[in-house]
Amino acid sequence: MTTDLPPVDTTPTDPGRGARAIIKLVIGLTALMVLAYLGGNRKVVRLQERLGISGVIAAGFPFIALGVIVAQPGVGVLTGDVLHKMQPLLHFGLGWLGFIIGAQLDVRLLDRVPAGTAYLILVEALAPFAATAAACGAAMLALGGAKWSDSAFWRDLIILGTAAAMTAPRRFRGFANRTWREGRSVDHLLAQLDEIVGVVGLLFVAAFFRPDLQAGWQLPGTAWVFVSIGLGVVIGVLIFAMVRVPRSNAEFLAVVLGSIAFGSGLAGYLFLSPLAVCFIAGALVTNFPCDQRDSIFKILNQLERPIHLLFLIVAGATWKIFDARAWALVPLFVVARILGKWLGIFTAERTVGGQLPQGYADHRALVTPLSALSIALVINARGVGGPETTWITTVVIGAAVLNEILVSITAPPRPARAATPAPILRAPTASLVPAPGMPGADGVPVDDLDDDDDLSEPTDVAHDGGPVYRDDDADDDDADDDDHGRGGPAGPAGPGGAR
Amino acid sequence: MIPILLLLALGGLMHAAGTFAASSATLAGPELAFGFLLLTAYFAGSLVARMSMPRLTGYIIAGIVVGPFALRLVEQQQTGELRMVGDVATAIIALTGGAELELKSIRPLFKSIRAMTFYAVIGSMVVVAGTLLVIRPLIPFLDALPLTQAAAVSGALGVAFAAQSPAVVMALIGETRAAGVLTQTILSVVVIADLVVVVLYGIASAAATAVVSGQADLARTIGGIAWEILGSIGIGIFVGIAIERFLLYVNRGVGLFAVMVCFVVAEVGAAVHLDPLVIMLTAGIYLQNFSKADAHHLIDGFDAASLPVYLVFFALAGAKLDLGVVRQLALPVALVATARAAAFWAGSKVAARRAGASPAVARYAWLGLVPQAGLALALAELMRRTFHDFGDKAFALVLGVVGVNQMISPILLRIAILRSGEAGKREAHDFADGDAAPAGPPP
Repeated sequence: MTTDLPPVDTTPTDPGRGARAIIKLVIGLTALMVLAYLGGNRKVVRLQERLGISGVIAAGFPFIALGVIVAQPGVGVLTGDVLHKMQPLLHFGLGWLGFIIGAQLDVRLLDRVPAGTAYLILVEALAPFAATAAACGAAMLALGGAKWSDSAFWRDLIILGTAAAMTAPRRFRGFANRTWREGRSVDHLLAQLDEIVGVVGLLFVAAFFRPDLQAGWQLPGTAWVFVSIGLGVVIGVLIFAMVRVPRSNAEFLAVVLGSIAFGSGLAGYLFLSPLAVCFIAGALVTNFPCDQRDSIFKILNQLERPIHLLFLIVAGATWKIFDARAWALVPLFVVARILGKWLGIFTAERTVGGQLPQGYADHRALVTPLSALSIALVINARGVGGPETTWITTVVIGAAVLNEILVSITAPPRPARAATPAPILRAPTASLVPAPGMPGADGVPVDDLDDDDDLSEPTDVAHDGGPVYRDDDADDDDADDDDHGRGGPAGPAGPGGAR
Repeated sequence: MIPILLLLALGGLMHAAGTFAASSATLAGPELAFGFLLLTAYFAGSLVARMSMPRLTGYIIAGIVVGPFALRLVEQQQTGELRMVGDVATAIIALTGGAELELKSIRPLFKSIRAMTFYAVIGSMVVVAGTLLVIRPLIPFLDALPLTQAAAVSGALGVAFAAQSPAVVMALIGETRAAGVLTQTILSVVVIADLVVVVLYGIASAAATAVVSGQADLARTIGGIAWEILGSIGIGIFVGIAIERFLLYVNRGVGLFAVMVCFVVAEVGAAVHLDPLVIMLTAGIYLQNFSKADAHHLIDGFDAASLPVYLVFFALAGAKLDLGVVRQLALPVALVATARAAAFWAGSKVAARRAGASPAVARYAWLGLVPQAGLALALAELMRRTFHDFGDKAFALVLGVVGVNQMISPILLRIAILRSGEAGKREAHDFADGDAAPAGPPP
C-alpha cells in the first residue's frame, strides 16, 4: 500500500445501528397498521358513534395517538428531523385545506343570508376570541411562561383566540362536507363562516409576525397583507386557467395538486400563510364561471381525509403531553371559550336579534366542538415567523378533547331513528323561515351543530320554486368517509348551487 | 397557446419569488419547487405531445430548462431538498413494478427474460467497460490512472452504465396503455436487471476500491452486499405481509397506507444501508404472487395517481442534468451511449434467437433497456463519494450518458411500443372516477 493512492471511502456499516433502526421500522409500521386499522375499521367507527365520540378530535384520536407514539425517541419514526423534512408536506396540506374552505364560499349563496348575519358572526367569533386569548395570556404571564414584551407571546395568543373562535359540527364529516345551504340550520352557516375568522387571523399573524431575515423584500406588515391577497388572486386566476387544459382525471389531479403545491409553496416561501393564500384562490375559482368546478371538488374530496389525518398525526407528534403548564391552561381555555360564546350570543341577541327571521338564531349552543381547522392553525403556526412554541399545540389538542367530552355530556338525547323512510322535506324559501319539520320550526329544536340533519342531493322534483331535499339520516351509520363518494359539496352545480 | 402562456406565467412568478429570498433557503422551498416542476413538466409534456413525442421527453426537457443549469428558476439546493420525493417515488414505482410482475404470466417468457438478462444486460457491462478502456485517452481521469486501476474503474463504470430504468418503462407503458408479450418482457427484464446491477455493482465497486486504494475487505464487502440484498428482500416480505393484512382486514385508505409505508421504507431503508427499491419490489412481488389479498386493488390506486409522481420524478431527473458537463464530455458520452445501445441491440438479438422469442421481442425489446434514470444516477453518486479524486468526473460522465439516454430513449421506446401493436391494450384507471376507463388508442 502506498501513500500516494487516491483516498477512498471504506466506512463500514454498523450492523448494531442497522438492527436498531430495523426494529424501529418494524415498530413504526406495526403501530401505523394497528392504529390505522382501529381508526378506519367500520366496527370501531360504529362503536364511536354509539358512544357519542364522533367529533373532530375524538374520532381522529387514534391518529393523534399514532403521532404521539411514532414521535417517541424509542420509536423514532416521526422525529424532529423527519418532521422538519415534512414541513413542505404540511404547507401543502394547509394550502389544500385553505383551498377547500375558500372553494365553499359561494358569494351568490351569501347574498341570500338575512341582514344582520355578518354582525352575528362577528360578535359570536370575537367574544370567544377575546375571552380565551385574554384568559390564557393572563395565565401564561402569571405562570411565568411568557413575557408580554415578546412578540411570539402575542402571536400565540392570537392563534389561541382564533382557535377558540371557530366551531365545528358535533359530528365531523370533513371540511368539504358541511357547506351551508338553505335548509340547514344557522349553526352550520356560522360554523362555516367563522372559519373565515381563522383564515383572517392567520393572514394577519403571517403578515405582522414575520421572522427576522435578510430578504430581498423589506415591507411593512400592512403591505404583506396585500401581498397575501394579491398572491391569492394571482394563484386563483392561474388555477382557473390551468384546469382548462387537462383531458383526463389523472391529468386533472396532477394540475390541481401542482397548483395548490405551487400556491402554498409560494406563500410559504414568502413566509405568508399557505392556508390564507389558497383560501383566496379557492374562493376565486369557485366564484368564477367554471365548468371544471365539480371535478375540482371531486379531487379536493379525495385527498381531504388523508390530509386531515396527516395533520392529526403531526399534531400528535408535536404534542408535548407532559407539559404541565400547557395542561393548566386547558380548562381555562374551555371555560373562557364558553363564557365568550355566552357573551357573544347574549350581545348578538340584544343587538341584532330583533332583525333576524324568527327562529333563525335561537337555541344557540354554548358548548361546541373546536373546529378541525384549529389543529391546522397550530400546525401553520409552526411555519410562521418568530420562535417556535409547542405549548399552544398542547392547549388546543387538550381543549379540543375536553370540549368534545363536554359536548357529549351536554348534548340532548338523539331522537330514535324512524323505521320508515324519512319524509321529503322542503327547504325554506329565501326568507329563511323554516319549513315544517325543519330544524328551527315550531316544536323542532335547532340542532346544535349536529350534522344529523344533513341533506342529500336534490330530487328532480321542485315545488314552489325551491329545491327539495330528501333526508338521508338513515345513511349516517357509516363512517365519515363514506360521504366522500357523494360528489362533494358542490353537488351538480357547485358548492351551494342547486343542491 | 394556453400551455405556453401558462408556462410563462409560472416562470414569471417563480422568478419574482426568487428575488425575495435569493440567498436564504426557506422551509417552503422544496414544496414550491415541487409544484413548479409538476406544473411546468405537465404543460411542457402537453406541448411535446402535440409534436407526437412522448410526454416523458417534455417532462425531462422542462426539468432541464427550469433547472439549476439553465434558467435557474429551480436551484440546486431545492432539487437536493426534493430528494425525499424522488426516494418515495422510487419506492412507489418499485411497489407498482413488483405488483405488475405476475410470475404465472411471465413463466412462459422466463427463457427470453433470462437470456436477455445475460446477453444484453451483463453483455453490455463488458462491452461498455471495454469501450471505456479503448477510449481512455478521451477521458482525462481514466487516462491518468495506471492500466490496472483504469480497468477496475472501467469495470465499475460498465456495471453502472448497464443500469436501466423501470420508472421510464412503466411511465411509457402507462402513457401508451400497452400490454402484451413485449411489454411484459421489457418490464420483467428491467426489474430483474436492476437487481443484477445492484449486486454486481457492489462487487465491481469493491474490486475497484481494492485495486485503486490497495486495501480491500472481502468479507465485509460480501457481508454488505448480502445485507443490502437479502436484508432488503426479508424486509420487503415483511412489508408485503403488512400491506396484505391491511388489504384484507382494513381495505380503506389503502393508497394512503401504502404511500406512508413507502415513505417510511424510503427514509429508514436508506439510513440502514438497505435498498428501498429492492424492499418495495419484493413487497410488490409478494402481494401479486403469494398474498391472499387482491393486489389489483393496490395497483389500481397507484396506477391512477402515479402521474404527479412521474411528472416530478422525471422533471427532477432533467433538472440534475448539467449541460456544461455534457458539452465538455460530448465525444466520450456519445461513444459510450452508442456502445451501450449497440450492446443491448446485439445482446437482445442473440438472446431472442436462443430463446425463440417472438418477433416483436426480437425486434424491439432492446429499446426498453436503453432508458436510464434513478439507479444509474444513484450509482454514479455512490462512485463520487467512494473515489474522492476522480469521483466527480466519473459522475459527470455517467450524468452525460444518462442525459443523452433520457432525451432519446423515451422517443424510441414509444415508437417501438406503438409499432409492436401493444399500445392501447391495457385498461386505464382514473383517479377521481375509481372506474376503469375503456381500452383505446394511446393519448
